[in-house]
Amino acid sequence: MSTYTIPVGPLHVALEEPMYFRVQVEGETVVGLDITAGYVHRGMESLVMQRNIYQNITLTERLCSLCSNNHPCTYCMALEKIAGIEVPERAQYLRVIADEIKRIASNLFNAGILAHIIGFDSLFMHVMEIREIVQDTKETIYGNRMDLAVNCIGGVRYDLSDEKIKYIRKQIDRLKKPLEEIIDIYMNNKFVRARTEGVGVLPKEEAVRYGVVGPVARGSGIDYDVRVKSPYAAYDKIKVNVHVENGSDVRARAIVRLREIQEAVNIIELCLKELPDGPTCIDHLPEIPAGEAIAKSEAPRGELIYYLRTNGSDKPERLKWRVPTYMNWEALNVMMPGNKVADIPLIITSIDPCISCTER
Amino acid sequence: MEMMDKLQKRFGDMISEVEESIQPAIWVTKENLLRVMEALKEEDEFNFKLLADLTGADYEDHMEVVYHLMNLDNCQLLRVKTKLDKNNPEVDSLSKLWKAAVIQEREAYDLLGIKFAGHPNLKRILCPDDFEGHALRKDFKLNQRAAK
Repeated sequence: MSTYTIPVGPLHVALEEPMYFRVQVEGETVVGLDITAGYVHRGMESLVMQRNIYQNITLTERLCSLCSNNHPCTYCMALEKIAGIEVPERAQYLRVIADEIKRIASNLFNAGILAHIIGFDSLFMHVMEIREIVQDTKETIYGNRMDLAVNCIGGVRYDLSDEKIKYIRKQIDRLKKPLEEIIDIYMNNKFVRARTEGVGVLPKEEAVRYGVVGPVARGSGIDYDVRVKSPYAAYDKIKVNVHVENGSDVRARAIVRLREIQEAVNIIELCLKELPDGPTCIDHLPEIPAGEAIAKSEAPRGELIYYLRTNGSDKPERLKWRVPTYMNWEALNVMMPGNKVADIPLIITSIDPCISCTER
Repeated sequence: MEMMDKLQKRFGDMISEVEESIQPAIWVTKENLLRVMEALKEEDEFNFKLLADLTGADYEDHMEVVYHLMNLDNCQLLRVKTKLDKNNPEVDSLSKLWKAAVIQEREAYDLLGIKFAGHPNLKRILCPDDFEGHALRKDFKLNQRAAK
């Protein structure tokens, strides 16, 4: 059979983010893939070198919407390493709470999109309705539904009163039951299983070779989570149960994400219980000396790395972030071939691509 | 640092330590880069199986490529830097050792114009194919493009 090349994208392949694939097909089956990136390249890497260190906290938060809390958090951690700043304990717990709330919202969004792509729109609505509980919580606690503006150098910019703690507890309790319901649907519903099982397989060896991270790695049986392996903020004091699946397919990755939501709920409850007293931020504006550091965190999509070099002035000399999607992106070359054309958007969603952070 | 001693013992003159660094970091000359990297990846003593990050940087008098390697067993990070000539930034590609290097080297080439010898597909990734110049270089002028 002869091979044809068809374009997929750049508009609205799986999400409302531009990505362009030239797919080689034999009949209905994908045999090759060529990825073209760069549609939302905004030159932010250059921009951060023209803004001062404090302005960059705001700027990095605007890299992307779904993992927006991880970017300033990791950036601040890199700065704190260079300046040798000790973050107050209460602030470390508060960072974890913000991190996990964003993780719930992000993973639920991805689960919803998956349902939408396989044509199960009532499930999509159901998931988005649950997500609304999280969005409301964010709006009440932080004042924003997406960008939380939580982090600053040496701590956080919000505090939880007893009343707010009670409110978060109540909201989290409301999440639990519907979460179990939707997880049951994702795991056992015939139609969902038929569309996700055995689709977009990424074997473990290939996953290691491509260096994939986050739920994509854990869906392929790799037990790697930054929160456990090299803990930051308060994760060294909190037990995180990492959920690993061996299915290596779209279904495995979806289940890992859904289980992570449940784990995030537990982590938030634990943090609220153990939240220590004390200040939430250091009490002075620190001076940042010359130096270079690397900071890592577990974003909803996987390991996020910040490499920062300062020269003693108020502007960074070099700031580079390696986002999780960057590593998972290339692994599509393994996942796609052999699958049907109709499954392309599904497989792309299963790596939960975030094009805005990837192309910066 | 324990790691530093081990590295010094194994590689001797091929590497030198980076000053004032919080994490272990070494300089490697570009001639020795491939040899050192291969040893860091394959030898059990080091076992840095993952290329976590690869980036370039443009400074006043030189350019450099910064690699971050990670040991997956104990999650230790090692920073490896190599200095390049500003007029002819060229270095060996690591794509033979790590698949993950392919896409990251393309980005360093696109934004900084660093050439990676032996790369299977060294073309632009973020900027369009007909873009002139390299956008992250210090001498890159946006106005020049607008004036055309």
